[in-house]
Amino acid sequence: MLEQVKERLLLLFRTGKYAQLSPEDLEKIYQVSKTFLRLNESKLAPLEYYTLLELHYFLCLLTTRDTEAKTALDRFSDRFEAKDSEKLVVLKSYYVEILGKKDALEYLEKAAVPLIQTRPSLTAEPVQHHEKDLRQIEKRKVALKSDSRASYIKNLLEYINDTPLDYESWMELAEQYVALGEYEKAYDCVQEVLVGVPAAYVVWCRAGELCRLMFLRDGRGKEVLQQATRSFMRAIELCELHTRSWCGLLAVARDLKDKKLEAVARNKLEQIVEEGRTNDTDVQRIRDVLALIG
Amino acid sequence: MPVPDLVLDPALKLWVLLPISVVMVLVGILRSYISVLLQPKMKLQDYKLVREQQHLARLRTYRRNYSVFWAKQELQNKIDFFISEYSGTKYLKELPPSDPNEIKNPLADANSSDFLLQMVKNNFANYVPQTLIMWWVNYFFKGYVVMRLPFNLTGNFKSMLQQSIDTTDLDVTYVSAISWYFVNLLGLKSIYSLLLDDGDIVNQLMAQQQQQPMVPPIAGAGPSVDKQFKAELENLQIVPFKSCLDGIESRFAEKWE
Repeated sequence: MLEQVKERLLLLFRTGKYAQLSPEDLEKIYQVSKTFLRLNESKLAPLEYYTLLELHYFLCLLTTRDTEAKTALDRFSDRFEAKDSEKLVVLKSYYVEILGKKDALEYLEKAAVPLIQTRPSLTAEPVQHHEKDLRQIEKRKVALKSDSRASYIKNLLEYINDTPLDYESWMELAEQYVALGEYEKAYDCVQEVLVGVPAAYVVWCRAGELCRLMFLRDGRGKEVLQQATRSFMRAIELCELHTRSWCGLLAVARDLKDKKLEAVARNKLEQIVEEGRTNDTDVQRIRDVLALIG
Repeated sequence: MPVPDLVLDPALKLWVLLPISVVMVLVGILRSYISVLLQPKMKLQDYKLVREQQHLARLRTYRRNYSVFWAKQELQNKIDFFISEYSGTKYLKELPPSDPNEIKNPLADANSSDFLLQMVKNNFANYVPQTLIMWWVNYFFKGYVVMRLPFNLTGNFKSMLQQSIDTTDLDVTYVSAISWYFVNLLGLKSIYSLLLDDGDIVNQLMAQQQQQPMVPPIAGAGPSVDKQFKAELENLQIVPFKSCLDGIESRFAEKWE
């Protein structure tokens, strides 16, 4: 039981899924994590304990329990020092952000000073550190200092230029371009992610959706739709039960007027719904899509 | 001619076997905590170095995973972009030396000298206690036969179990004090894991005791970064393109229709 709950919570943290949960689910998870941490503090290895504490901290913030978030933060401060730990500074900035983005930025600026201070060294020339060496803080700043979408994109580009392997940021950039309707640029970003993680079926699905969006926007030739089909197919090849890709495939098949493909996708989706192969929300969504398409 | 059994004083167990084991366990625990103290702090890395290495790694991932592109032209566009982007010195941490034959002094580099110092510290924390205990065992118990193993062994074990006993005819099952020290040195892992209750520390401890050699990366060795960039770009230009989307329709049809 302990192992199972622990694994689930750790998975929730690793995948970042907790940031997308509905309020009721968040509340439930919060209760679980609270009880779990209280009961098992002594049984957990330090690394696991602090990882779960971090999750708990974010859950507190997301369910607007400021005082408890502060308690969690204090537990971190008991173990780590803000003048040594970049991570702690970043965590704390989320708490400060409750007061406002400006305050969080100011806090980050101030907290960065001791972190990049030159330490005396007996053996070699002391190393001069630059503010930009603090990558985690830099990333946090990108989110905080952008007041418009254009400046957000600019800051993201700057950040990515320094750390091109941060695929989370590439994805975020893609979504920003989607919001602006610049699907080609978004597609380029998604492609970059695919090069890094070629088995990420969610990203293949997104690439397919972007191709379809390009088609819908300017009714371009069938090649884009073909490309969308292939991306969805690739996603399904990697994960047979990825319902979003099946839905995308269904939509593209309709655009292409490909009766055979449409039937395949529809059958599969109906089968998934009938057999209950996915969670309730997804089943409901598939029903909606099927009803919408008719 | 069979050698008659030696009579071992039972007090040997209490006054030799046990003290050696206890001392070794205690020293091991002490050393594990010292090595935790000696561990280097996480160091802040120069963002220029991170950038340079990540861009290099980016080129490598392109060389490995080019198959996600659906057409040769798409990949070619990227490669053309990379050639213009990475041919200059924009992403290098420091400009390549004007004299190509110049060799950097590895000791002048802060990172590598720190690394060397760390190695020295670790070795020091490792050698000193072992040498001390060995000296202690040798000083007090040299030439002691401390126990007899309850099972038979072949003669090959003689050199291992009867160090410092110069009796060629003695049965192999008798163990000398210094050999008991070596048996302890290699076999205390389960005791440590019981006492320290943390797999990581124990593994570290055992790894230290068994002294696996490690090759330090020396600054200035290997090709310079701008050459690595050039090599990666060249590799990328000659990849035999094949897309993972080729024939996906037929694969899909085969499976689902």
